[in-house]
Amino acid sequence: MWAFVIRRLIYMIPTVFIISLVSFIIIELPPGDYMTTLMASMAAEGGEMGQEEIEALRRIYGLDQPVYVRYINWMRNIITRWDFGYSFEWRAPVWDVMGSRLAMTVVISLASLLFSWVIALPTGIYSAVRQYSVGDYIFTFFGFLGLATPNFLLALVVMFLAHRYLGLSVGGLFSEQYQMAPWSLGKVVDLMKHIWIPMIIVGTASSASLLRITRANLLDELRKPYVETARAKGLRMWRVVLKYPVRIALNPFISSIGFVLPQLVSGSVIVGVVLNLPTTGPLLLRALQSQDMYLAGSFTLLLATMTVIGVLISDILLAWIDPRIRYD
Amino acid sequence: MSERPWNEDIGREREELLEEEQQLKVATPLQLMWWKFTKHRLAVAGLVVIILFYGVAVFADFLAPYPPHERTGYTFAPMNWPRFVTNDEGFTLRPRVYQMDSDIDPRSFRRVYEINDEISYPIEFFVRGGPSYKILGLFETDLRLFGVTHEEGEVFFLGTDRLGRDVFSRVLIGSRISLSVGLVGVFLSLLLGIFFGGLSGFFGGWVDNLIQRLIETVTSFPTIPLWMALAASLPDAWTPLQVYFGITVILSVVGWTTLARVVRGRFLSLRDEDFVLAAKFSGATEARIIRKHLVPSFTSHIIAALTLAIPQMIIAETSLSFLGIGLRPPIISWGVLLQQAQNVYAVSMAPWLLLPGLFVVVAVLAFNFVGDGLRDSADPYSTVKK
Amino acid sequence: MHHGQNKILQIKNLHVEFPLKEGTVRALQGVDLTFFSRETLGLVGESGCGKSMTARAMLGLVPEPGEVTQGEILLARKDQDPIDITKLHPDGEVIRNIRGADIAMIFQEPMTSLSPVHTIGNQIMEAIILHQKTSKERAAELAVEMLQAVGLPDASRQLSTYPFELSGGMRQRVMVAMALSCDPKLLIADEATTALDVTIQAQILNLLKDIQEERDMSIMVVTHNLGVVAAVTHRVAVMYLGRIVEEAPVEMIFEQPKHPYTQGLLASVPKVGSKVGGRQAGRLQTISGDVPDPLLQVSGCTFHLRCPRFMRGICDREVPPFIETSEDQQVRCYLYSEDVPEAEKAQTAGGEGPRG
Repeated sequence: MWAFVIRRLIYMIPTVFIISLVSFIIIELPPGDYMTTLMASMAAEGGEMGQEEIEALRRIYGLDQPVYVRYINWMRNIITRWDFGYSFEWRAPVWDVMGSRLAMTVVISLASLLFSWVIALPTGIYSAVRQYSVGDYIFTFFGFLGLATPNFLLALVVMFLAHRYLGLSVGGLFSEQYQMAPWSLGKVVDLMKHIWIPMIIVGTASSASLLRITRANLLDELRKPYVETARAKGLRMWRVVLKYPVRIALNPFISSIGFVLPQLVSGSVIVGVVLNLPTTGPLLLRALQSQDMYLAGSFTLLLATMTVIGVLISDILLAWIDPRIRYD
Repeated sequence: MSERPWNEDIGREREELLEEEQQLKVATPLQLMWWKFTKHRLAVAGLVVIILFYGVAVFADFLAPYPPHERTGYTFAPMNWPRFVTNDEGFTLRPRVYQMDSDIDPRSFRRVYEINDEISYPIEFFVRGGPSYKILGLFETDLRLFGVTHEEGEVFFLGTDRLGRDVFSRVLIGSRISLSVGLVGVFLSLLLGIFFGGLSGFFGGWVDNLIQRLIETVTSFPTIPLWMALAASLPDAWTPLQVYFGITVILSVVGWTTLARVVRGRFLSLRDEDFVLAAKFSGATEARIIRKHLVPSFTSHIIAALTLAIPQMIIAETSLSFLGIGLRPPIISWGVLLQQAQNVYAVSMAPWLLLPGLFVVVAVLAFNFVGDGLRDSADPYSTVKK
Repeated sequence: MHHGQNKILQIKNLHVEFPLKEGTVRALQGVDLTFFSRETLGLVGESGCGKSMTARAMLGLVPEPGEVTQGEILLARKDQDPIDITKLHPDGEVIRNIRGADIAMIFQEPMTSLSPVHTIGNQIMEAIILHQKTSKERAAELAVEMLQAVGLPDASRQLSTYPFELSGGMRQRVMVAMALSCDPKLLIADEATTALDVTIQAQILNLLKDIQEERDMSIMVVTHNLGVVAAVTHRVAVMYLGRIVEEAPVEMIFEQPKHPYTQGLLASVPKVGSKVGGRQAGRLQTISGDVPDPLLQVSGCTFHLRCPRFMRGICDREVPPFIETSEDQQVRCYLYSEDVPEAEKAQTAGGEGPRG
């Protein structure tokens, strides 16, 4: 088992390396740098900056170095000092700006993952065991619908319905009095009151795909001879289903975390924009629009690294639950 | 006991059965797939919808009652459907629309519309007017299928937007971009997918390992942030056409991995199948094996995977454009239309602005049904019953 | 003469049908079988003839949407009236207590008939705990005993192994141990050795023989392999398209088969010394034609479409009744009926070409 974990950890290294490269490319992609943007906005306000001043600023932020040096510096600062660079727009270190928002993204993604499990597992099992029943058709219909509806559209519709019929504003994660308040029990309770809407919106699409995966896998498993063996022993049908096929169908279910997690993070970003949540979404969008590239690049870097870690955890879980994999 | 047929009947049935079996034996994989596909009712329905949608996209200029950029002067006007029974004319075969009276709400200072059911105007067919366009890019014309020629009469199937443009007409025109992004994007993904997946599956070993790591990395990226970052880097100065291709390239750069996996998987499983081994033993070269044996036998799987990839592209384009970093006006796509519905006030005032989303959902559903049907049919080991 | 005395289970006129969209498949069309203690019955036939369906029906495990439409399966019980398995709810308590405890089954594929993610011990002990209401520790002891009895080396260690760590033969031994763990009165071996090497087949078959003698069990061996039949059975029932067409002690089946189908089956087996492929013996005989489509409802004797001794107007009308050709041998074939004129039978005696 440990050998497996270590091997997977080693596999992660190149992945994270490529992620960091891609994120850095994103930082470097826009023509010009933040100084260009800054100059343009200064010029618009009438206060022009001297060429020397600009060069001085460039030197301070290392913008005059060659590309690979900038990449190495960026990575070195992250690894040694947890320093992701400087957000020119917020005039603060990137980590200070995005730390709490990243945490909220993680919270929402995990809550949505939990939600999709709670929804997908029972409905998937039911749909498979009672294939072609009314319930199966209903679940399958909602499954398809959930897959076909883009996250943001669902968010819009929910927002519209809540506004129109309940007179509620569903945006945000906190009530006004807690927005700026430090963490307290009251704030956590307040978060619980608000988080379920984004949780459901973000989790719907993944619930739908997990439902379909569970159903398909379970249908395969139910036809396997070992189910008959177990029934021939005298076990009750539902016990057989829960002990054997569900157990095996769980494997792909768990491994699917690997692709569901990026989906959820993606979803929480875009839903965050629509519902104006204090997550990475709105900030990332804004950073991209204003070419605050260290912030934008660090977001991509961390969001992607987080999903990779999530996938790693799901792989380890999988190996733990399925003996065939860990002996492989 | 039910009645049992005599021997002669059975004999005839057997002849028919044998004939059917004979047909199945000489059918190509694609023919087989088609026979199986027609058994899936949802999939066939999905195919009909898709054909309809693309048909509409091709003839959008002709079908749309208004030019897409025309400002009618009615801002945020609600839907106004034609009807066969009106209060002033009674039942008429020619559908008519009621006049829309506008007023300023004294408290909110907003323009509100009321349908005046005393006065109605006829819908005319094959009307001329507005800027001319080219049907199929060939014939220049300003003919439209229908419209209201009377000054006061307007037909708004899906209401109007902030600038008073007809949403229905814009949805029709927007379908061109939204539906073609999927096709072009998937085509590019396919090229990438076949290239990497083919290399991976055919050579195996360290090539396979390397490409697998690459695929893993790409799939572990949350797509939306990555797309956002890439899309935001497209230069502002680009023309709409350039942006369009830029976006499709970005979509496929992230989207090729699924296809690569399918290609690789097919290659791996086929490589070990007996008929490939047989071909190898009989001295066929690798290129010949690929061309003659592998490619035909996995075309069906590729088609299925492609069909399932298209709706993802459509959703991606819509999401990006909705955020304002994908396609931008004056390009019209469903996502661009939905951008107007971004804040809750616009939506609560003009809920019909959400309706372009319905077209997205229907298109995506249809593609998913067809894709699922194709995937089932592509399995060579599932039985065919004609 | 039957080998054992006590009647354990009796199947009478069993019909199983599958109503499908394309039509009704009549999987079993009147099966009659009787099982005695200490006796091994071989159920033989081509694939798709209903052998496995018969076995499943005996456990009340007819797969959906199949259903028993006629007939009964009577299981004898101590000091009680026999119970009809076909009348029981398929997931009810009564049938669940019969499964594993009274009637146990060994399935065809040792690879897939065991759950890949549970240990051997877990899977054997499950049945023991269920039927004997013992503690986990006691169940583990019993499981080790069973594994020793079926000749698995190092039995106590094997409890914690997973099926994929064992060879095919070992796995089938585990299946046997599992089936025997609750001391069933009737053991069904459904193609239990088909997937195994010949040498391992022999080991498992001998194992079954030994266990039967120890335990007074009745065994039903479902197979298409006549070698297996010859090796272990006492009595043989030959099945074709949902019906038993001939039943006799094993020696009589091999020495004087009566039904044309049985004759065909035996003729299609290569015999040692017959020089297969050589000039003298020529080709192996085959039964002409294919098994008809399961949706076809064949009138009369279901074999008449392929029968070399088909009698028009007789075989294709009514289902032939069982005819006793000697004590202990019965056959469903008009060739042995006293009601059919000898002239009709003689016409076909040449056994001319295929038909159907």
